[in-house]
Amino acid sequence: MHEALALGNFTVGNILSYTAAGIATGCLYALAALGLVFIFRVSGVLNFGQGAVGMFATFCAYQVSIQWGAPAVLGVLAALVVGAALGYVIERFTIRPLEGKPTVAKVIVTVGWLLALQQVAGIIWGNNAYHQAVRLVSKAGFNLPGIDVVIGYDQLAVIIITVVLALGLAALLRYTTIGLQMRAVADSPSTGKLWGVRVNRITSLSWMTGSVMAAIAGVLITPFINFTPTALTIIVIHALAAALIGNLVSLPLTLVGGIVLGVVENLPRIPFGSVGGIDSAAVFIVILVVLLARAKRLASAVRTV
Amino acid sequence: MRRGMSLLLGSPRAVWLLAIPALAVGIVLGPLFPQQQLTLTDVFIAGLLVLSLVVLTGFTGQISLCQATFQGLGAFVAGNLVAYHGLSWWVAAPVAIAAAALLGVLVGLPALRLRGLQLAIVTLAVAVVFDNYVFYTPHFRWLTHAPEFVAGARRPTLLGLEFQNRPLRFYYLALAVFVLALLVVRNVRRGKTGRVLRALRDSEVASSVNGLDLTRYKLLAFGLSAAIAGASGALLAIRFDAGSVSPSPFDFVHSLNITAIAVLVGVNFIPAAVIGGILDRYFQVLATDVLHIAFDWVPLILAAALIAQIVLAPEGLWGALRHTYYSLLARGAPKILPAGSGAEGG
Repeated sequence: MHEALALGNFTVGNILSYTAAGIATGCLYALAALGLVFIFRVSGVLNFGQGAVGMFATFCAYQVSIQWGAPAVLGVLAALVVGAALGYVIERFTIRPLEGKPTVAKVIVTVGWLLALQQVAGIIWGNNAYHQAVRLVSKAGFNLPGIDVVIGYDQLAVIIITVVLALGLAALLRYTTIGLQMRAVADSPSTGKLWGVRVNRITSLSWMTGSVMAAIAGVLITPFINFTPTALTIIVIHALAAALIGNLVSLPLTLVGGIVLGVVENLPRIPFGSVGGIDSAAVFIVILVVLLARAKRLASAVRTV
Repeated sequence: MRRGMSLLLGSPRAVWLLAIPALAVGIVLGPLFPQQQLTLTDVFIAGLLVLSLVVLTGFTGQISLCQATFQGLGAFVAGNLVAYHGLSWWVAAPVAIAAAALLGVLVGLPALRLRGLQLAIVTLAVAVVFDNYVFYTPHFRWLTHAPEFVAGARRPTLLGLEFQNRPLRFYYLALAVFVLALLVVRNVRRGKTGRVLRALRDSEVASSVNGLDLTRYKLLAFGLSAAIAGASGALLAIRFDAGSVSPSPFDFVHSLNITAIAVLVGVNFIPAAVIGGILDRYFQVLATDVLHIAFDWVPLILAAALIAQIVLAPEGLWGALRHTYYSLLARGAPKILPAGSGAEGG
């Protein structure tokens, strides 16, 4: 009887609505992951604090919009500023002094930031409390024609924002001088320096851009999950998985990877319900499969940085 | 005479001048402070976890963010076997250590062809998936006894000596396991394996050109590291008189904290494990009881100290101490040696 029920859950409507929800959260993983890859390509540092930076900025938005009652737009603005500031501080004062040090040291520094930010947020906003979401778009939705599936306006907004930001990032890299300089630093910092690129400034800028993307992802994901400092900090795992799908270098593949990841982790919820952690098992499997399948190509990607 | 002294102080054996008194302190500390016995036992349990990172990160340069997961697996296997399968802890503990070592080797497999970043990603993913899923879900009830979790893992007896409800004897058991692990790690470091691992850390290409079997030694390091963490877990399984094991000490933040502490104290040095254990347990006591800092702020101070340390003193606490010691010795040496040779001449 139970099995029949579980199988019965796989209706077209169910699959479609879970897929839509998966695409929406997947877009946000993709945003965080794009920031992660961006920072990694330009500065060569994999930022394990990416989720924590986004988390901290998100809670600043929560403070402004929910606690102080300001309009949601102001909260988002606060998150963007805090995200950029964190990105700058982390790079300028704790990553730049480590130039020439082994990768492990830089990774540990970002882990230190993860711990510090998560702890501060836990102290200020509480790790287990319920937090009301910062909503930019109304909760309502519309019916897909013909089928009884509701797509939320917030889900649609997330998808549009992600696509626009991804295209904007691509345009920035392709058509602007700063983008050209960023690509130059990503390819070879020393050659860039010879051509007059201010490598330090470009690196700073990439950390700020990447951190702002984490902040946007964090704020936008609040309506979809029960958001706590820990839950948002863990998003770095999703971002890392999506980034791995893009070989840690490709921005378009990372975008696709994030969306696929969102769907893959959402579909097991149809038969299992929201059994704790089944989604993190899905993410884990994705990471393992990608690492085992792509080991060689990843190795060369890492070596060129 | 003074020259001989300075040679002795500067030699690699000088560590025994520290280790033997430290062991003596360890032996008398337990009986001297009965109300501290359990916390002191925790120092050894945490020290084992730090030591497990010395093997992995210190010897091979690989980074792991899931040592608390290995510890948790060891604790659940040992606790489960003792509480529900009627095994003695003496049998259950080696099984737990083997299980943790097996997981360590499995986690290490993807790192065989890669190093550094990929391993950090995999281990963080392992820490999160065990924290969010494996340790809590009823799907793994056969291991964790979720949702009520393991209870009733009794401490063993040794030659008629009862450990149950005897905190001092348990203290000595933990001390013995810790000292044993320290000796094993020291022997590994000084032996062929240690030399190979350091060669691997410094250059994988050069090592493989020289005919070293990278795969075997990397997996060995993973296995040994996870085994030590598993031993720490096996002790944790019988830490409480009720013999209860719950998943809360094994969350991913604790894994990250242990890595932070290990790097902070100096992950390249075996004696740092002792400092790491003390720091893990007593920094909190010091900060809250003596300095009156709110409990919540303690991990934050540790994280900030970690970031500052990597930027300012990359070799960690023990590394900085060691460096100061040797530079003091070197500054003294030119003065001592001519004076000594003068005395011999006269």
